[in-house]
Order: sequence, then structure tokens, then C-alpha cells
Amino acid sequence: MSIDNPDITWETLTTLNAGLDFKLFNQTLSASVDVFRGSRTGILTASAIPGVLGQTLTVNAGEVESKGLEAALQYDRQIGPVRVSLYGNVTVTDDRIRAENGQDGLPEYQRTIGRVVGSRLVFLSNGIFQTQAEIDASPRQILSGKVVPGDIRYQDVGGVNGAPDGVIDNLDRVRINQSDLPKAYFGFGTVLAYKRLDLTVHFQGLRGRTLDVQGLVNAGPSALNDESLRRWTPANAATAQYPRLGISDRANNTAGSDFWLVSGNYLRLKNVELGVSLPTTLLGKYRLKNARLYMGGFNLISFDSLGLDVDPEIPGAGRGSSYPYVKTIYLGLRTSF
Amino acid sequence: MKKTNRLLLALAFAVALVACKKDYLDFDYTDGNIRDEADIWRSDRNTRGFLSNVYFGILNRYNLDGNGSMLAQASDEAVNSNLSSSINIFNNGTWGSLRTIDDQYTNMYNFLRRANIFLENSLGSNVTPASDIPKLRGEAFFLRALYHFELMKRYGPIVLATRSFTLDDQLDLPQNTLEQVVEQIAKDCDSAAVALSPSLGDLAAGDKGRATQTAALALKARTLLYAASPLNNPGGDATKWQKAADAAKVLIDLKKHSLLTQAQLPSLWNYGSQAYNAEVIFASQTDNNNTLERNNAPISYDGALGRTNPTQELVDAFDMRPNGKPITDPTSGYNPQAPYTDRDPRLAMFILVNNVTFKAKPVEAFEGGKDNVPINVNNTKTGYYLRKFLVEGAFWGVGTAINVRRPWVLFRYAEVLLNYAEALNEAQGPVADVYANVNLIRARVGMPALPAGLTKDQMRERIQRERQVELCFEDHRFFDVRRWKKGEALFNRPVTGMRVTRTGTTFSYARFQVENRVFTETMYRFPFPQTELIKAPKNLKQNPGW
Repeated sequence: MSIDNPDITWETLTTLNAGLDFKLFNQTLSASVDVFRGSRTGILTASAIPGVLGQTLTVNAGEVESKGLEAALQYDRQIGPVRVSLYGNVTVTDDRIRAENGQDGLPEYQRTIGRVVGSRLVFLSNGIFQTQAEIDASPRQILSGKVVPGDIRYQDVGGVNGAPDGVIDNLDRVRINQSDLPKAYFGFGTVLAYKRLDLTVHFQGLRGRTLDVQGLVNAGPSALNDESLRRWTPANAATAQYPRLGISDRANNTAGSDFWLVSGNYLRLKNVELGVSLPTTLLGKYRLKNARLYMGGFNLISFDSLGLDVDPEIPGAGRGSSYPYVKTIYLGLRTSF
Repeated sequence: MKKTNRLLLALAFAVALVACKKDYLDFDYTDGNIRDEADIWRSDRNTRGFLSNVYFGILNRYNLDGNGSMLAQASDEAVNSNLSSSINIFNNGTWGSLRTIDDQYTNMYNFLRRANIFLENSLGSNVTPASDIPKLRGEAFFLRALYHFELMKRYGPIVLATRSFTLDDQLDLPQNTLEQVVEQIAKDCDSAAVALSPSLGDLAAGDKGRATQTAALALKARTLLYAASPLNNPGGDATKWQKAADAAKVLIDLKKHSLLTQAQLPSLWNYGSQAYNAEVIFASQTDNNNTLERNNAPISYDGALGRTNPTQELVDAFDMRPNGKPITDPTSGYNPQAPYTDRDPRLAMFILVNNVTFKAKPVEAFEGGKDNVPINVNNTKTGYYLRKFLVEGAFWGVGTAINVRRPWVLFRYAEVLLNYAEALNEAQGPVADVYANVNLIRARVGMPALPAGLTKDQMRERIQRERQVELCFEDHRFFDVRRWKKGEALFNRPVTGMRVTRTGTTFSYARFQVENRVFTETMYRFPFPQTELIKAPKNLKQNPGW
């Protein structure tokens, strides 16, 4: 006997697109650039009807505005015996929420409107408490029953009356434009050939992403894992990277905060391969038309600033039940008869 | 020509189809098949089924968070052995409109909506026999009253939902006054009481869980008691107390219920041995499980979680058995080094203290004992474990599980007697009927009668302690202390436990502070969830202080 919403419909996607493809310098450089700007309106979102109705409704009331750029560049040239091919591509996007229900009564610093899709509502941290005196002199943190040295310190941002009130509660959470959705994806690489040798190198990466590593640091039985060694103890208080380890009443240190947000940017040598085509004089003996000997690898090197021994491409892997991308080294011979 | 014939044939067939439609293509939607809303009320089975769905809003309170928390742990009755339990939001001052707990706001309105839809449509329904309709509607009236009460006891003045709202309604409604809420609940209880079967004993075997006349009267009596209490009756209007007493008296005079004996009392909640016993007035749907035992038994019992750890404050409320005196009385005979000797027999029935036998072995709550292992996160925080509700026959270890059939008992006769005594004492002072009803409860466990000559204030203290003892862990204390306006005195102070040390074969006892508790004036009522305030910005007024 639920009330339904007969007006419910598809969301509307509007996109304005401009593209340019061109080749220069005797067709050695080709490029393609595409810019877009668009909006999705009528996204399904919960209604803002009071709870006394006794049920919830879904309505077409959300709106997201997107703009972005896609570009690809390719350069091919023969320089004497060397054939050079270089390429790169990048996608940059910016998606912002323009309308969403349930935001009206929230303080401005907590609203999703105007912020990026996937923005986070977090406490702003300010290091780790070192002494009881520091705790006593700070706003009261009420996220867990007890707060002791070794716990994360938070900033007092707001309160019931809009101003900081000396209590760290949910009104001190701030919505920040940091999302685990990247702002930019890119890839680049080269293919080189010199006589019988050829070399392929491909990099990929992304930028403008933050990751919440709280779950990684607190993974394991009673939150015990390798990272526990870097947790706060009175002995290593000055250098500890993470708050004290607690087996219970630890909500203060597991609450969503920027303490746990780290850059999720990475650059990875996704593939490298060196090959040599064997001379036909050698092959004739074995009735082979051609053969290529090659060796290479996948995922050999990655650069990231997570500070954790995890795969930046699949950050959750290796802690739970999912596997990271494996590092592969291969050696092969391809022939045809 | 041939083509024309075919066309004609097809046409004729189509006409025949249209002609036959009524006979062959029309399903009988009156039973079983639902095509639209109206079909529910055309069917006997679906109309009754709809009402059954309204019952699903009844709250079972044995396990609030799926990890063994009970409301008792949010009062001075107990501590949750899991220090990370969300129940501590009530205790450590972190409660708020953005950090709610046990917030039944949208949940209750959901079921109020169902109850209202039933009440609006059932009169014209095809229930057979039609003479059942008033009774079914009585159940819906009861449930509507119950769900309003669940809201009222948490939030105080709320928006009454006495019809199913539509989207065309202005839903940012002003709250009704507490008086209006109480009046509506009482009215719905009256509508229910006149239509329903007298009590559980009068219901057929398959209908035992349904609302009855005594259930409606018990709800009304409790609601009026809450309305007359200091929290809701700051002026101390004695007529409100009298009304509460009268409502309880109506139920008592029906003589449909009685107290179980002392031997039966521990299995009041065990429907495997005492199904729908005479003391139970209304209970939730029964569950078959051993979760309660597993959550609350001491930690050495097959990995049990020892969640509800009774406090010393509760243990101290049990009087001395030989003379009925509180242990604070120097002449009571209380011996701090034999603290569990000669106590009210209910202490042993409701609380596991050190060295008592549970499941055929002694509970080792002394330091170093099997049930006192501080490195186990589930270890008792107070030195005590829960005994009430638990059934020794339950088994959750390796092997075949043994379950217990058990409801959450919302109303039982002992509470009605205490409601009556409390209200009557407030309205008329410690008259004979006040003594008689409190003494009934004491006598059934072999406790001496209350001493004669108590003043009204002394009687109030005794009744409040009797409630604390008799109704412990049953979701009462949390709200009782609030309605008595005693939160600052009783909940804003540390809770304590008992450290038991064994030397040879003797035990010695020392009290210790377990944790601090925070209670401020604000906490007499629940905060409306911030999400709801946002949705009703004009008229929904947050409770004071939140």
C-alpha cells in the first residue's frame, strides 16, 4: 500500500561536445582533442518528505554538472634505421553536484551541492594527542567513550549555533572535495624499432584521487597487521604515523577523517617488452617463415605515495579476499609456418 | 474470395474473444491474487494478512544492535561487556540528533501508516465471517496505540498519525501536545478493549500472539502512568495519578491474569515450558534461538559473549530476605563479606553472581576464574553476568544447537500491579491497596511484606525499588528513571562492580568503579533525528537542549 511516484522517469543527459582532429608535420604528429560540458538532471534521489508519511519515496531531483577534456597525441617518424612512435592520452573530468535532496537544513560546509561527486564528509584532524594536558586543553571529543594520548585530535569547526562549541561531534564534519574518483586518467608510451629489435613501453596512471586508508591500517584480527608497528606508543610518540592501537572503544580513531586520506595518484609501468625478429636465414633450416623472440613484463614498477604495501590500482587488494595485480615477467617465442 | 473468408473468420474469432472476455479471461482476484490495492480488501486472507503485517512493528528488545546490546546497558542496571557497543552513546555523552540510537522515528510511522490503512479499509472488506471485523480492527487500534506510545516514551510530544497521509497533505505538521498524544493513545486502547477477546487464555491456539482486551488495558494503564509522572506532569496534578490507578484497576478487576509462582517465575519468558502463561499479558512474536544465551552467558560457556553485566547498583537494590530491609539499613543483617547470602531470592533468579551454579557448573567470576579473564574483550566489566531470561537448556557449543522458544514480553501482570500501586500511592498516599499489591509481588518470591506505617515518600521509594528489582532488564528502568525525573541523580554518576578475590576456598569482596556515566537535563527525551528536522523545517521542534 505504498504510495508510488508515477512521475518517476529516466534522468536526462545533455552534452555539448567539441572535437578537433589534426595531423601536422608531414603527418608525423597526429592529435585529437575533445572537450565536453554537460549535465545530468533528474537523477533519482530520496525525497525530502517528512517521516510522518511512514514511507520514503524516490524522486527525480538530483543534478550533476560535468565538464572535461579528452586528448590524444601520437608521433610517428622514421629516423634512419630507427622507427620511433610516441603516444599519450589523457582524460580530465570535473563532476559537480548541482542539486540533491536532504541538503537544505545542513550547514553549508556539509552540503554536497557545489561539491564534486563522491565528496567526503570527514573530521579535520590535527595530529595525535601526545599528553593528557593537550587533551584537557582541547575541545571535548565525544566520538568514543574515552580519549587518551595516542588518539587523533580533531578541529572544532561548528556547533549547534553555527560557531565552534568546544565539542567535537558530527557538526564538525566537513565535506571536502576529495574523492576516490580520479580527476584525470592518463597513459603514455613508446614503440621503438631498430633493425631486428623492437621495444614497447607503456605507462598508465591517474591523478586527483584520494584514498581512505583507515580500513587498510585497521584490517586484520583486532586491527593487528604490519601497520601496527607504526602505531603510537609512549615509546615512539614522536615518530608514530598512526594513532594508538585499541581493541575496543576506538571509534575516535576509526571515524572518517582526513587523517586517513592519502593521495591515490600513481604512475605505473604497465608493460614493457623487448623483442627480436630472428633472421630468415636461420629460420629456413626449421621451415619457419618467421619467428620473434621476446621478453617483457607487466606491472613491474609503480610510483605512489600511499606509504602502504598495497597495489595502487586495487588499493583494497591483499588485505581482504581480493588479489592485487600480479607482477608478471615473461619470455616467449612466436613463430609461424 | 478465399482471402475474404479468412478475414471474416478472424473477425468472428476476435468478436468471440471480446464476448467471452468476461467469462474466461477475468481471474477471480478476490482471494490470493492482488492486482491493485482494492483487491486486498476483497479477500478474506489478504485482509487478515495485511493486519499481520502491522504486527511486525512490535519491537523485540533482547538484542538491539545484533551484538547483544539491551537498553538495560543504557541505565544503571548494566554495562555492555563490549566497550565499543553503540549502546554507550547513551552513556558517554555522545548522544545527539546527528548521532542517534534506538531512534524508532521513521520505523514507527511506517507501521502507524499500515495500521491506519487497515483501519480505513477493513470496514468494507470481505472478511468472513464479517463478525470478525470489529475484532481485527480492535487489534489495529491497539497496535496504533502501541506505536504512538513507543514514540511518546522516547520523544514526548509527537505528531499523531491517526490517518494514512498522502502526498497532497501538508506533512510538515506541528507536534501534538503531550496531553493530545496521551488522550489519543487512551482512546485507541478503549476502542481496542471493547472489541477484543479478554485475554490470551481466551484465544484459540493459533491466535495466541494477538492483542487482547487486557493488553489494551495494560497499555492504557502504562501510558496514563507515564502521563502522570513528574516528567510529563510537572505540576503534580493528582487526578492524572488517579486516572492511571483507575486504568490499572480495571485490568486487575477482570481477574484474567495472575502471578506465576516463585518456582515458575524464571521460566516466564520461556515458551518452551510456560507458553502464554497467566502472567504474560502481551508479548512479541516468538523466536526459536539461543542467541540470547550466547550473547549473555558468562564467557567460559562455549564462547558466550557475556554482554549484559549487571551493576552493583542493581545488585544492591535487592533487599534482605529474612527481614525485607534494604541493605543500607544497619539492622538489615547485610554482610559485605557474604553479600549474596540471605538476599531477595530474585537476585539469584535474575543475576549470575560469583560461585552460583549455572548450567551445572559454578560461575567463576572471581579474579583469575574462568569467567573473569581480563584479556578476553568480552570479559565481565562488573563481576556479574545476566541470569534473567536465560534458559539453562539452551546449547550453542559444538554439536547440535538447542534453541529456546521465547518472545519479548511487553506487558506482564507484575508490572500492572506495580503501576497501580505507584499511581495509587501518588493519588491517595500509602493506602491498604498500595500495600496489598506491592506485597503480592514480594510474597510470590517469599519476601516479607512491606513494613506498616510508611509515609507516602517512603512508599514511593519502596515501589521504585520494587520496580527496579522485579522489572530489571525489561526496558523499564531506562524510562522509569526518566519519568521520575531522577536522571541526574541516578544516571549521572559512575557505575560500580564487585571485585571478588579467592583465597583458598573463601572469597572476599571489594567494590570498584567500572565507568563514568553522563546524564544531562537534555537526555530526558530523545533528540529528533537531524534528518527529520531538515524535512520538517517549519513545525517539527527539536526537544529542549538538543
